[in-house]
Amino acid sequence: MKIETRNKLVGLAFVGLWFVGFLLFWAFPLIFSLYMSFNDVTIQTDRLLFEFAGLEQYQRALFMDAEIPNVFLLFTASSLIVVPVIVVFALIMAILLNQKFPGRGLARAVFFLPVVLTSGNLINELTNHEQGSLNFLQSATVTNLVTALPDTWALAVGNVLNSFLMVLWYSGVQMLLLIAGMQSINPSVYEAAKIDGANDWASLWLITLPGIAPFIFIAVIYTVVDQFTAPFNPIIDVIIRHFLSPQTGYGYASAIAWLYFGIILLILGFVTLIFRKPLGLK
Amino acid sequence: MKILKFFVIYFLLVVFALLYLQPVLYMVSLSFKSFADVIDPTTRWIPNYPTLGNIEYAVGQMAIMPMFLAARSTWDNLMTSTLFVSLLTTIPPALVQIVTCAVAGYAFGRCTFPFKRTMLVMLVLTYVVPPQTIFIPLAWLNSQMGFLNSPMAFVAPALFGHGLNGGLFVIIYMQFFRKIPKELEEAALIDGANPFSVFAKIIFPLAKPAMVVVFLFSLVWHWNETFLTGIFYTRIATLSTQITRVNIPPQEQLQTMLPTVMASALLFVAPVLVVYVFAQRFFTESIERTGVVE
Repeated sequence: MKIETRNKLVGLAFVGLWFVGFLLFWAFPLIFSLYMSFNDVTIQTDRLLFEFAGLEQYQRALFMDAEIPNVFLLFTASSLIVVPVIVVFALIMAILLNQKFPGRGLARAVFFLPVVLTSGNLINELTNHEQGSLNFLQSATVTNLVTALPDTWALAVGNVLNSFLMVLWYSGVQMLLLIAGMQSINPSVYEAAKIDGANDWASLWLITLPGIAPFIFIAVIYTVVDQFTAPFNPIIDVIIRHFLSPQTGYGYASAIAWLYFGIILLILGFVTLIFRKPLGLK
Repeated sequence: MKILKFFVIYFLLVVFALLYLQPVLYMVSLSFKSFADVIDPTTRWIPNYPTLGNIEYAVGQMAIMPMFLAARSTWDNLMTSTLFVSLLTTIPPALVQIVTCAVAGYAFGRCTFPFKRTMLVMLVLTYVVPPQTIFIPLAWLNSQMGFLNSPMAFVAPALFGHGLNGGLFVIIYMQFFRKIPKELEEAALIDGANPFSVFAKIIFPLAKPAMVVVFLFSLVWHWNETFLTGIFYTRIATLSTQITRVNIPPQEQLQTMLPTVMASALLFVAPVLVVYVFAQRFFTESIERTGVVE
């Protein structure tokens, strides 16, 4: 047997189990739910009945359901604000925690804590009791500023401000990613820049940030996915409600779920477009 | 100049740390406050009359202890404990993922096989698809296999290198294996070892830093999961879904509701916090060594 064929067989053996799992736990459910979204699904005691409905479910969700376009717009708008806020905050923290100073270990331990505590129910409980909001944000100036914006954005900005602290709680993993990125830059580059007369501020902009561009990209992707699957997401509530409702059922819930997945893909595509240049992609 | 820099760093860190920790400290403080402390506006952080009553009440409401009925089997009795269900939902899938995700990560990081690029796209896809899009078919699949109300609903996908955030773990391993020098495998292969024992005896044991990261993340994320556990578990429940249950207080305790809610939240995070205190050194250090994602 040729060595190449042999290598390929070995590779297939290693990836085989994963691929079977992919078919079972991803491909099949995706196709099944896409199929359901084009059907009216009725639940019998022991099986499901499908009645082809074409694009009806999607039309209903987009044009006839008063709730869905609003929830989608509002959530998309707030995540377009939240995602940059989280990533920029994580970046600032990562730069701070990457400096050499006494007590760095302790500081890192404190700031990585959100990685383990980010549980939806816990955060809901803490925010419900107004520990998540900053008092100064409720002051008159901010409210005036917010009301000057168009409705959807005003509501979205309001949501973000109200949960400012909780925004910070979603930046733990991103900090880890960015610090890992900073560690991957060769220290001799900094030394060379220093000899050439660059100060810390210049090295930050000219060496660190370009060097960790791929990590920033991954942090943004992670944040988008994380925000969209976070338990406080109102879209999830809508999906579950229709999933449990006897009037609308699985077909409608699946159609909403696919619209929701479509929005995530759109945003991820948009992010990739922005990062095309710094990452050197074509 | 250096002193100024330290000053700025410490100042920012302390401010942010206070903001960060405030909700946690609030939770801890309120959990031990008695009724007298709650209504007393001068008592802010440290209760004057600390009590364990909130914790005791929360333990009962969250069904942490198993309810023993003679008519049920020992296993069914144990499954009435939310703590037991949480542990079963957390530890076995995490242990399985350490191994299976490493195998897949090795395939993607080091092997060649047909359609590798397409499969890489699929790998990223598994991370991007929200569970909300596929939960109905998954629930159906689990009901067909008899995995509803059983931790197998989480162990089964893990056995194939998937499961909760499995895609992310495969990517972490993939990045790690890419960095290991090729000579290690080649030397062993020339000596006549087969590729599978090379992986099992040489490559996999090298991946300890990646294993630590995967195991800890997996533990935490399974422990915190509420969406899928809420769908797959109808007769049993995990701790994470119990916090909100404490919200319904008995009439005479209406005023002291908040402390019991916080006590339940504290009980829920306590195990994770304990793990974190012991493991945070690995957590923070091994991230650097694995480089996580590049």
